[in-house]
Amino acid sequence: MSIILEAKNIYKTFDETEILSNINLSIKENSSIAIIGASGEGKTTLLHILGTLERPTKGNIYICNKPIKDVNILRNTFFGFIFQSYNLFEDLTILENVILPAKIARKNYIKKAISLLKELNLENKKDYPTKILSGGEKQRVAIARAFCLDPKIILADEPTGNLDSKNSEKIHHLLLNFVNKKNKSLILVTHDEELASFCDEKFILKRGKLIKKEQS
Amino acid sequence: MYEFFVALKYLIPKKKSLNATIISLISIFVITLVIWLILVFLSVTRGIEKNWLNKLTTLNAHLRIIPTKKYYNSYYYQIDKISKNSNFTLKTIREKYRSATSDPYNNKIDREIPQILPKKESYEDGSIIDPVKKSYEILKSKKDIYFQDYEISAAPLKISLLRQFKNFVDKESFISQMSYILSLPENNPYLSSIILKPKIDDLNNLLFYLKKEESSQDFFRFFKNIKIKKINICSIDKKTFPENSYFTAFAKFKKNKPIKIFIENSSLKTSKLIKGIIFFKNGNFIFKNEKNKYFLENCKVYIKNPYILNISEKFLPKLLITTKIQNKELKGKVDLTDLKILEANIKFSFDKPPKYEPLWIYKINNKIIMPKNIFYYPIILPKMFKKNGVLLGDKGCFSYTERAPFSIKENKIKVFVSGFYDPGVLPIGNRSVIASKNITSTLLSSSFIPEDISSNGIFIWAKNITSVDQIKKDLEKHFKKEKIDKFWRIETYNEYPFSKDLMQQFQSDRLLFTLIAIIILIVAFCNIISFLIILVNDKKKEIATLQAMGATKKSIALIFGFCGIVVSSISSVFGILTALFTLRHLDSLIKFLSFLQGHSMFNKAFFGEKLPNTFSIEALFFILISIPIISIISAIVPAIKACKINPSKILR
Repeated sequence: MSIILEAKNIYKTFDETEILSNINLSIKENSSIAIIGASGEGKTTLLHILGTLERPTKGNIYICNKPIKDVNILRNTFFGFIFQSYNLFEDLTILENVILPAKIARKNYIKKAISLLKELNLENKKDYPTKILSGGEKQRVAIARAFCLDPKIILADEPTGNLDSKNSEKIHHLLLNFVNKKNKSLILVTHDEELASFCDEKFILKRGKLIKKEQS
Repeated sequence: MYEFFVALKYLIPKKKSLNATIISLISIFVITLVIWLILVFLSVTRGIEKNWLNKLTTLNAHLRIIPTKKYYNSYYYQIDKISKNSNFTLKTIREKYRSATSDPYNNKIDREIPQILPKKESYEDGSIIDPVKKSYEILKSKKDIYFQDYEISAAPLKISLLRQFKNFVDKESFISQMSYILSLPENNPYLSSIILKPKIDDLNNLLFYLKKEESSQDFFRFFKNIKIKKINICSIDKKTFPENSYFTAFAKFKKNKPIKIFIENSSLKTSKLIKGIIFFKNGNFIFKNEKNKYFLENCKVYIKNPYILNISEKFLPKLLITTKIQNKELKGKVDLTDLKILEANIKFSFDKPPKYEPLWIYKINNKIIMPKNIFYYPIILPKMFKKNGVLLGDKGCFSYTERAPFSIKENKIKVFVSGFYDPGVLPIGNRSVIASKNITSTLLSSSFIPEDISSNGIFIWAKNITSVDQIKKDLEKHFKKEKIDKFWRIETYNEYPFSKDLMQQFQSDRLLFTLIAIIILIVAFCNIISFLIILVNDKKKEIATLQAMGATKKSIALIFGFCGIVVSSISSVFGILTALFTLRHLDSLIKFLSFLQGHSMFNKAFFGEKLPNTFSIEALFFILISIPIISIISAIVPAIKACKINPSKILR
């Protein structure tokens, strides 16, 4: 399996406080990694750096062994983001939310979006506003949105952080199944070690350092 | 285009984003109001300016060609003084144009040319330069103009106002004024637009004079050109009263005998009159009430306010009228003595010369014609005279003095008022009387008209007023080519001494208001800026999410730019529609405002009979150009703010 994303010597400093220090990480095609750590350790910062939402203070990110050129195209087609608080657009319907990345790419992906919603059992609610949905359903819409443009890597930031344990488990299984079924790579940021154990690799972020944890 | 799609979704009012919703609605309201104000104000002011310009240029033309000092000092002009062929009299432009020769001097019969006279100016082939004939030649070759020579003179005008008061007593008063007299520019295609149609009081005044003069020809000229619909009271001849017809009537009694009987449509409520019926039977005219029956012998029968079905002039000076009164037809001969017209249709426009010429000015195919009169010359007065009591048919005279061999002779030209015109601009129009060329020529040739008030030239009306500058340039070029340029000065209406300041003021006013309008618009658009900044703050998380999904900064800026454009477009549509509605109902609005104010909102002397309510295309262009520009500029600040959002910080 080839490496599709590689972070080399990543440093991140906020107000002279070093959050990330010499992070090196590579993600292979169709693999999943989990980054765990306590709150405030810089997990989200690392995920945003990997997803090109934030620039590292030092170090480089390589996509398929090439340095980053156009971040907008990468965010649109290479990455699919899933956030803890779903970040759905309340002014849009469920279907409109799902096809939004495709609209940004000026593509017509309505059929694909409907089939994704079907897979996630949300097809019958596609024309409803998102505010009528439960937390679990909202996150399913967010997952559909992340997969809409067929990205290579799914970046999930505490995807179950706002859900109860029952819904949390459901979403987690759904996400992993989707990743495996669609042959995507996954970078999962979580503080839940149990959920992290379902990934191929597990890393702990502690005091700015990323340590690989062997799977038990 | 998803940017537009997202922008539209953002603009739908929502309870959750109440602040943004309220501000967006306020923005739409304020901009609508401002656009409405600008459109209505600019349309009305533009209309007023156009009206003024029309009135100004209708009488004084769009351009005029005035002889220069070189013309008056030239051999061509001065030679008439010593030529027998010219009766030793200087000629006006019209006379010069009509003269058979350009050089009337004949060395066999005329005295030797004095040395002080300028030298003759000729072309290379030896022919004399004739500035008048040449300029007419050039003007005739132009298709986009109408032209006519004009003469302006001045003389004191005295008008007699002979009026009939109660008990048929005539009283005479006079109006005197020093007036400018302008020769009738009958070729002026726009003249008919300022000529006022005669009114009922004019007709009654004419009728009053007709009754005095008793000219049957003039009676025909009067009655053939009006259609009387309603008259006041008139006595009716008993002989023509229909047999066996009954009418409700009211009788006035004196010594127990009816002396006057009134028949009318509505009932007369007065205790002095006794109600009854009137009828004509077996040769007897009878008034009958509840108590008695009276045979009417020396009693006059009047009909009040009848509707006229037909009038025949067969029996002039009596009229045979057919009326409808109390839903019955009543036909009878009517004496003109106490006849007063209440409603009538007046013939003013004709397709061909009428058989009986009206006694007032009229138009044939838009050409103004003055009525003929054997004893008096017709004149057209500015409407101010009417406000001072002058009516159609009033007589008067121009006084002027002429040098006789051993004395100075005072002469008079008798005139009658044949119509009124609207001079439009107060300071310059109210003293100008329009008269036939015979009057102006006579006055110009009299010795005692100061040179600075008399003038002579050629009026030019352009088919399109906007092309006056081009016409001027073109004529100047041709005049130069024909070597007559030094004899003429060409002026456009913008350069007339009396209108120059006014035109400049209009331009300054327009510029000033446009600047004010732009400032008001900018202030109104500050509302949009506030609304968009609040919207950006509200949608920070969504902006960051869009960026995480790959939206470019340009797209983010476009979303908020579209928001600004949509809000201003909606406001513009509302503003334009409300302005159209207001202009359509401007009269009602002004009536209402005048009612609230307790007096008339606008001075008729300045604004005209009613405010112009034509939607100004220029104002619309101003809105359609300025609104998009200002709305784009106002969207820049919020768009920059939206672009500067750091997605990582917001999504953390």
